[in-house]
Order: sequence, then C-alpha cells, then structure tokens
Amino acid sequence: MKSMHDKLNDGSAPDARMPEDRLQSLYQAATRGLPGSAERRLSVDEVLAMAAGQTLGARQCDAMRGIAESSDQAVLLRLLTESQALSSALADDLHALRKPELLDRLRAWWRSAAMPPVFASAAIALMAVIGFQFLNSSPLSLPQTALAPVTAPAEAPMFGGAFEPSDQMFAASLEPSEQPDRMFGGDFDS
Amino acid sequence: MQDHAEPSSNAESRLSSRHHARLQEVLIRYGKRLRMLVETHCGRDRGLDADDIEQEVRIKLWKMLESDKTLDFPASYIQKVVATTVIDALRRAEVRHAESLEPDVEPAVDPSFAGPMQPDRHAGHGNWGQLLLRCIAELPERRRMPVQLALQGFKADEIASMTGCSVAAAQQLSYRGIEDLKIRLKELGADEIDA
Repeated sequence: MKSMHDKLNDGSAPDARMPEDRLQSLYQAATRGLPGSAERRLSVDEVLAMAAGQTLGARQCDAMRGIAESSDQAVLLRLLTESQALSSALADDLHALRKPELLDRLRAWWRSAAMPPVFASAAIALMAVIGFQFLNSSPLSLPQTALAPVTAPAEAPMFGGAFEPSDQMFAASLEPSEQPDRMFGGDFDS
Repeated sequence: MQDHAEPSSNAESRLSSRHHARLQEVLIRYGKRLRMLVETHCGRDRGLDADDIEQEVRIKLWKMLESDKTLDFPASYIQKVVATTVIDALRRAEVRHAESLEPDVEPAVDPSFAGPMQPDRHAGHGNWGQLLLRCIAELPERRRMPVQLALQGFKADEIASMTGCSVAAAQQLSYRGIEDLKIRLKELGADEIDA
C-alpha cells in the first residue's frame, strides 16, 4: 500500500514542491472538455473575436468564465491569439500568389472573348509595329509647314508708317532744325 | 485550332505547376510555424498531435485553394480553419482520454490514509484535480478569475486585457490567489506542498 507521501511523489498527487506549472497542469487536466453550463460554451466565431482582441458585449462575462473553466477553450483561445500574425502573413502571401499577372489577365480576357490564337499573334504583331513606328518618330522634329515661315519671313508693315526722316507720326519734325528750341526761352541749345 | 491549343496548354501547365510549387512552399512554411505554436500551447499531455493538426490545416487550405481559384483568403478564414481543426483534435483527444481512463475508474483505496479530504479514496489524479477545483471555489471572488486564467496559462497582461484591470492588479491578484491556494491545499492534506 502506498502512503500519502508516496502518492505525492508518484504523480498521482501534487508533488512535494508543487511548483506553479504543476498546479497548472493539474488544473488544466481537471478542467478538460467544455464547461457544464451551455452559456459558457463559446462558438468558433466568439473565440476568434476574443483572439482578435474584441469584447463580446453582454456575452463577455460568460465567455470569460467559459475560458477560465475549460482548458479546451483556453487552449484554443491561446493558440488563436498566438497564430493571428502568422495567419495574416499567410493571407498576404496567398493574396500575392493568387493575384493574376498581366499576362494571365490578358490570356483570360482573350479566352473569354473567344479569339483564336492566330488573332492574338496578329494583334501582338500590329501593336509591335505601332510601337516601333512611335519610337522611331523624333518628338523634336517639327512638320515641314511649320518651318516655312522661318525660312521666308515676310515684312509686314506694323504701324503703317515709315521711320524715314520724313516720318510725321508724332506731328513733329525729326530733321535737324536750323531753328533754335524755343520751349523755355531757347536756352537749351548749346 | 488543335495545333495551337497544345503548346498553349503545355505552357499553362508549366505555369500552373510552378504556381502550385510556390503555393505549396508557402503552405509548408506556414504549417511548420503552426506546428511549433501547437506544440507550445497545447502540449503533449493534452494528447494533441501537432503534426496531425498541421497536416490537416494544410490539406484543408489546399483543397479550398484548389476548389475556388478566384477566392481570396482573409486571415480570419485561415484562423477559422485552424480553430475547427483544433476543436476536432481536442474532441478526438477527449474521447481517447475518456477511453483510456475506463479501466482505472475503480479507485485505489488506501485505508492507511485518513486525511481531511481523503483524496486517495477516489481516482488518484482526478481526485486531486477535484480538490484543487474546490479550493479555487473557496477563493475570494476577485482573486478567483485571475487565478483560474493564470492556471490556464495566460500571462498577467493577457489576464488584464480580458478582465479589464491593470497588469499590476492582475499580477497581484493571481499571485496572491495562487499562494492562498497552495496554503489551502497544504491544509487539506497535501502537506508537503511548498508555498
């Protein structure tokens, strides 16, 4: 027959030192399965919401008790909380991998338009020719018609008058006058 | 027309196999990290096989990827796959655990011991668990929940965010509660438990 002391040390009872992890494993073993009360059983969506840091409103209190009283629910919550970042990273990777590339999208469009491959080749060749012509045309060269005025400038009479010495535009004579200036008494002439 | 279709389908299959290889690579990488998390948080004593869970999650995701090539996979969907897989695994482990306990249902009776709770009159390990639950139920209300959550493996900051108290309060309440628990367990017969 085993004494209490033996039982404490053979794993069937809390061991002599009872560290916290021993208490933890004992408690988790004792709370295996789901809680007795249906109100404290969580749905998958509720556990996911809690793992995402959300509160469950009126259900929060029962949910907390459910987690505290069921190691299955606690394990699930811990695992989902820890795997949040991992799942987000996977979702990003999958999104990047599944995003169709330009070639795939063109191919899908062509297939949906029911075009035979020979048309595809023709279209690609046509686009290549257009592209080649576009690249060869110099953007700096002007059309011939634009060059014509530069080579043959026409003399257009801008003011309809001439700047010869006999020009009377300002009703004054520009010729050198023999008469002295009389504006201020004629003292400005040298 | 058939002549044109053949090279195109070859190119597609080449593309597709390359795509599959990349997808598989991503899923394998994810699976490895998930397995580590399962091993860390579920532990071997729960009877969960991390390899099985990893493989099952990977197969489920792969099937979904294969079935609908246009479907986008948000992180919440992946989390749901993990959750349902772990729940199934927990249920299977529970059934296995219950079956393994069946031959031991008859408790070992030890007439030499006559402690206050006489724990060895019932199934050994399970009885200590029941004793522990009873001691927890005797704790003051405000300490009970933090103690339970701490014993479920949550850290002080997690307890604080769940219960809405400060981290320091969660730490104090759970620490003091566990110390009380140890003292009470000693009083009830586990006299060599070190407080």
